[in-house]
Amino acid sequence: MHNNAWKLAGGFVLLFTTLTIHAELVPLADAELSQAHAQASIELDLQIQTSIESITYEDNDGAPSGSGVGDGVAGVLGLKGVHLGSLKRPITADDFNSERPFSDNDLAIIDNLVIDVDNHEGMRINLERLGDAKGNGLDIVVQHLVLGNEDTSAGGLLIEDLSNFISDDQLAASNQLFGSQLVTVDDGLNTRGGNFIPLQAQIVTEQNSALTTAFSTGIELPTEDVTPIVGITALANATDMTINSAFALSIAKVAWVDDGGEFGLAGLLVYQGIDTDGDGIDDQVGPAQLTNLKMQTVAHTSSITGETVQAMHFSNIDFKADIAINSIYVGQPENSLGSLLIKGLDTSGTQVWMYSH
Amino acid sequence: MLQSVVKSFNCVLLSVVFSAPLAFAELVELNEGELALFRGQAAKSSVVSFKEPDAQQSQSLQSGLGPVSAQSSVTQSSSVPSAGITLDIDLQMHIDEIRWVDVDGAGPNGTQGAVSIRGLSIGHLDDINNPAPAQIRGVTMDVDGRDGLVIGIGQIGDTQGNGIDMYIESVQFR
Repeated sequence: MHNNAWKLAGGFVLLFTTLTIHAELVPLADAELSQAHAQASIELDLQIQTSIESITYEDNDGAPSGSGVGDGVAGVLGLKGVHLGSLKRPITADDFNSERPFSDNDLAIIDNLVIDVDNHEGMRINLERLGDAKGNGLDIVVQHLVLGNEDTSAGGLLIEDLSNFISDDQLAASNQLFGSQLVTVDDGLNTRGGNFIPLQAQIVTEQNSALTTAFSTGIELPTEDVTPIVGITALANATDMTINSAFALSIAKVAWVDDGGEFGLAGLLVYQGIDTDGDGIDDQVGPAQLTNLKMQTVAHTSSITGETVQAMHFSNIDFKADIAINSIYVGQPENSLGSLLIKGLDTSGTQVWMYSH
Repeated sequence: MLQSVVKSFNCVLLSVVFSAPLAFAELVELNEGELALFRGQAAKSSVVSFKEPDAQQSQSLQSGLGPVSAQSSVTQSSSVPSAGITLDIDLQMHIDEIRWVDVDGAGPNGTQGAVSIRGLSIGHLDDINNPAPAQIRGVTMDVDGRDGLVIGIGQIGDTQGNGIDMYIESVQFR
């Protein structure tokens, strides 16, 4: 009975408490709501290893021969035996030709990949680290290149230690070869022997004025060869995409591999030198830049047939970079044909239309 | 009236009960020869073999189940679109310097040397201070099972005789 009394009392307490504690929800005005922003982004740390049996592009009508259209033979452009991972040592010919070039522990590191989406700024991607601080980057093995006949191989492709870690040793070798005085900026990650330079990309979709007009006046845009989807048709015809990117890359080796021999580039750096003190000499390694590359589908006059076709238009291919290659070689990197520096590459003003035939 | 309805119902019921054992069907196996005369209807498809481009491909185009009188064959469906990429390019490029370095120079006692091309511009350069892009039209790329990767260029320059200009400020040996 004593216990029952306590239970009864507790129940009354709970009841009265519920009745006395309340809150009133007050709606926020639109202006107040617009001040509030949720903070969200995706941050990824990855360790990857991938094998892909084949990646193929099929041209079902081949290439017309000299006798004219229609006598081509369907062909395949392909990559076979694609493997991604990271070996902590140089890749040998046996590794390259192995059914499994990478063991379970040979994982490529992708650290602090941040993806943000903004209503005005579009999608922003920032990658802090590709590879580790010892220069062990992403290794890519393509065992067979197929150019036309699916049963024949045109050799393979090797990309070794693709990374955004610029090591002091590699930079010193490049400086010695090309008479430069480049250094990297401290990345704040307490790395020794070099620094990471973040990879950054921004993708913005834009609606042109025609779209705005269509939605405001209800005018339906022309939908040539576009299956109408309610409310989306205008978007499909009128949305552009603009890409900005900044990156610096170090690649230990890019090689075409054929029967154990190689023809390749060793010690490749893609960057953009920065003159910080205004003396006309670059002294700091900065990122190569792709600025405001715009992609959109447009009506275009085919230069083959003269007909109007839909083409993918890449306008303003504004790419600025310096490219340093420590060794162009045949056989092994020691058998060098020389070193090459391409300084101040600027492709602004270039544009491309791509369409089918 | 009710009695008549009941009686009618009873009659129907009785007839069903007694006739059920008398109505039967027997499933008889078809022999292989009879089975081979019949085809199921499959979706229309055309397959082009990349290994045997001239091979005739057969299709199942019969409507419904029934004996097949003759096989139809087609080489390639006309609904498959042609493939290949065409590029039209407006090319404008500038490179401050291209330097090729020979680390060990000439002979056993050689010293490092370099060839340097400075101030390289590519485009339509009638006015070097106001460069414009040069036109390249009809760059085609096809992949052919016999001829491999085939690249063609239809037109370099425009129809007024303006081709690709290349300007080099200096060539240096160091």
